[in-house]
Amino acid sequence: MNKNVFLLAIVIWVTAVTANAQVLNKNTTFKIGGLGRSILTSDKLEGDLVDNDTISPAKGLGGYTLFDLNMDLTVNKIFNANTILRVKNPYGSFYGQDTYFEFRQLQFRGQIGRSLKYELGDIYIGLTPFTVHNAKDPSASRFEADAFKVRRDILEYENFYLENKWRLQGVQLFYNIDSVAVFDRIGINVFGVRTNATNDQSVPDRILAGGRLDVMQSKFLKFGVNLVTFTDLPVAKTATVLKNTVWSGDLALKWENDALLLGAGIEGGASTYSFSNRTADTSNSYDDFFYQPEIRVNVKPVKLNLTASYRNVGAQFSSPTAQTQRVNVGVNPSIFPTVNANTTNRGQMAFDRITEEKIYNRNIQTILGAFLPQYGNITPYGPATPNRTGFSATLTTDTSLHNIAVEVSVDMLSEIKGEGTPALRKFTGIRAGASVDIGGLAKLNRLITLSGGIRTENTTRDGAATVDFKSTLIDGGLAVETLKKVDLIFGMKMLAAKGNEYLANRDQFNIVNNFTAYNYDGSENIYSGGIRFRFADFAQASVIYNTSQVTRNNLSTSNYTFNQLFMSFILKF
Amino acid sequence: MKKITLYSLFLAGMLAAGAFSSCKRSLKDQEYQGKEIVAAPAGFTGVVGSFTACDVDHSCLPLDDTTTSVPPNNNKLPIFGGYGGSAFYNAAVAFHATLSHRVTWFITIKGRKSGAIQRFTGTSQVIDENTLLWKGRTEEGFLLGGEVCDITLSFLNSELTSSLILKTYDDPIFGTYDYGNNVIAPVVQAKVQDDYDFSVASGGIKGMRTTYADINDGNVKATFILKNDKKAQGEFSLYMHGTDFNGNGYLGGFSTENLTELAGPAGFPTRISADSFYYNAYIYGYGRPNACLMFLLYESDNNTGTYTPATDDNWQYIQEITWTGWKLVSIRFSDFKPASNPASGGNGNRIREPHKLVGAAMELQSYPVASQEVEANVDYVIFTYGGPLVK
Repeated sequence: MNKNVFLLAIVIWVTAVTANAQVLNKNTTFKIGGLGRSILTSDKLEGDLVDNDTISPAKGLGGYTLFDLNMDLTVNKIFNANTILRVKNPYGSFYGQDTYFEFRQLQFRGQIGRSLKYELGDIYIGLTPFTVHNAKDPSASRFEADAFKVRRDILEYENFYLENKWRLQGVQLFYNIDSVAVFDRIGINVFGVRTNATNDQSVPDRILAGGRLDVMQSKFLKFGVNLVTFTDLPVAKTATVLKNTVWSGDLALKWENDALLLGAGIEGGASTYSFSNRTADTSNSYDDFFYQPEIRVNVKPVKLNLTASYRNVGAQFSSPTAQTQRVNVGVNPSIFPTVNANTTNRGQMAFDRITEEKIYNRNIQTILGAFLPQYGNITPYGPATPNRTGFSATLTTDTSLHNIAVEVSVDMLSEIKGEGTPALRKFTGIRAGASVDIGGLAKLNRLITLSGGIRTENTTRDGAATVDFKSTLIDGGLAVETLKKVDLIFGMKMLAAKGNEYLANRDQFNIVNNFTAYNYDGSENIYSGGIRFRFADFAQASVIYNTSQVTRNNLSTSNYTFNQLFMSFILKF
Repeated sequence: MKKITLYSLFLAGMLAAGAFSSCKRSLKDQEYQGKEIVAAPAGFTGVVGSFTACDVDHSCLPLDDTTTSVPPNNNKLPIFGGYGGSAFYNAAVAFHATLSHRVTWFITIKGRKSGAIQRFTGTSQVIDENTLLWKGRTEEGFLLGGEVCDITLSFLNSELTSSLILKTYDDPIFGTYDYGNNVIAPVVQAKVQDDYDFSVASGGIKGMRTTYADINDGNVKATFILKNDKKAQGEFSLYMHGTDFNGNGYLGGFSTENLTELAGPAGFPTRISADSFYYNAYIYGYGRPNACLMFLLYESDNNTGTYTPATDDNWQYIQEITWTGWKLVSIRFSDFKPASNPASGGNGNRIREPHKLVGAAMELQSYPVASQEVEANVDYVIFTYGGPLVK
């Protein structure tokens, strides 16, 4: 691809510059932005796992330099073209041998008339937490240390994670109109993307289409309707055909005065699923529903928000665009992937979930993926995790509070339908965290930030196959600006988990068919420390040493320590 | 709040209530999801008596024959199969055990040499042919012919285990295939074309070992070699790797030697449907975006037993290798397209006739973008009729 892509990029660039030079009209603009990143890591694996292994690699050096050139041509408000051309050069390749060029993004957008906006090509789609929602990794914390945030920012950029949206390829329209009849505003958002391409023989095109009708009646009342559907367009010899539809309605009420904001809302909806395998002459279909009422109170004088909700998400509620996990636990990490004389996959550890770009999903999965309970067992598929009912509550500080952020949340959930037994799992989860800008509080005019968080989860089940699984995850972070724009950054993450669980295996119809017993007794401790140079608003460099200790109390030869020196230079303009 | 807001709220609420009342929950009447699981209770003592296996297709004869093979430890070695000598051997093994309590059990079958694994699980106090039948299918890898397998019976929430040994007969891949979900397909017959293990002492089937590289790619042509670091079955697979330097998309390929080997008595039964004839292979992908294999089938339309490009049919199917790791690919003959060039196989009767097949090949290509570096492994090329190869 490289030579052709490069030539194509040059043609587009020249065309754009020419177009700019010709000045189609006074609104025509051509902007260039970009991101440059250079990363170098020195890695070492130590411990029982590799002590007597002379075959598997245990030391390594790797990294790359990349540059994303963002070209943005606006002819007028009707047409804008945005492309990102990537050049990436891994360290260790000679004379650019493995350097490659690719289009990272190609998007056309614009506005037709007064109210219709369009997007073509690479688009971001997102609706509600139960319809289209890219849920965050359950082991990620809002109060993670800056030392980890540097890494997580990279993997989110590389995987096109923007808030809770999915980046896919297709078309999207937005239509907004103000003051219609008794409504202040009506908005319509529709999209259509292809998540899987046909081979014109046996694999059908898979089309994801959907949208939202959003109605703001007044500042007191807002409601909407959402629809998302997956459809296979069969070709002559199509082996499998999927049809999955999710609809929901949501309603939000709000009332406020100077001291108080009261809100109430609900989202409810249903899914229908059908899948047929023509090769094996089997098919299955099922329906389920969900609802989640919620109340919200903001006590303005004390700058606190309280949200309480009840959820009921059916065991067969199928919403792939809201239930696809970010982390694919089946992908082996790329650094030291194998151990035991290259015969065994190392598997993922918590540090990989912060640093390894390749274990993250970019595509929608129509079958619920596997997960590891120690990293999140209560809602592994996000808010739309099926087979959950119960109460949740969150207390947070108001965003108007600049120097302190505190959050406490509690989940008291249970299953709706047992798995392998009529007995139901009960889940109790507590998350708490705080971040304090000491520099801001003390008016020191320098960055001093202390952050910390804790998450505990407890899963139990009685009956013929008991479950007792507990995990605790603690985060800590400190960033201190010692010299002007030079920060010392420290971070730690400590995970401990113990107990037994049963992991559900799902068949081609996304139905639970059997279980794998899962016993875990171990801990993972990550300690990171380093220095960050903030040269300018658009450029920073960091050198961070990380050590990740993985201990399995019931598997004595599986303990190891992963040490990594990480150096990065990031430029963004 | 204004009156109009209350009306709107009422209307939205009514609409929501109406829509929500139509929702249903398919699992409502089901007691639980999935197969039942019961952990071993206190006082569980495992198998009462012994854990044994028998051949269901032959009056459940005990599988303890010592006459056809020398066991590795000179103990009695149960033999899986050994009857009839037919290449298309059908067999079903039943396991027998009575447990002290009703419990969830696991039976794991693992080939000592191939590492192939099949797992079963169930919940019962008695294990017999009504509980479980094994038809030789494995979920990971392939068992080798004549391979010793360890069968382990274990229990949920218990350290107790029972075990026995079986030995496979000939090539356990041949036979009836279990499609899963308790659906047994119509009898599927198979003809292994190449398992790329011929050079191994354990034997193998050599049929598509003739390799060739595109001479126009210059001095550094694509390589086609047997390697043992990746294999779907047995001990070797065919590894191919190269760069399409001249930009024509073609890097080389491999085929049956003379494109005549499938003809004659060893060929396929007459008059079978192209809809039920499959060209199967395990393909290992490396995540190279333009790696592609073209599957080729050659017919002799005039029944001379040889393929003549100017007068016969050449059928083609393009398989892009978009995955990383092994994947079983099964292409139905009716999904193949005819070659478009009359001078190279596009001049036959244009009817897909499996019984006229005389040769098969695969070509490594850089597709859809030419000039790229591509690589893949291929293992266990097998033709099946009656259905695709199912693992």
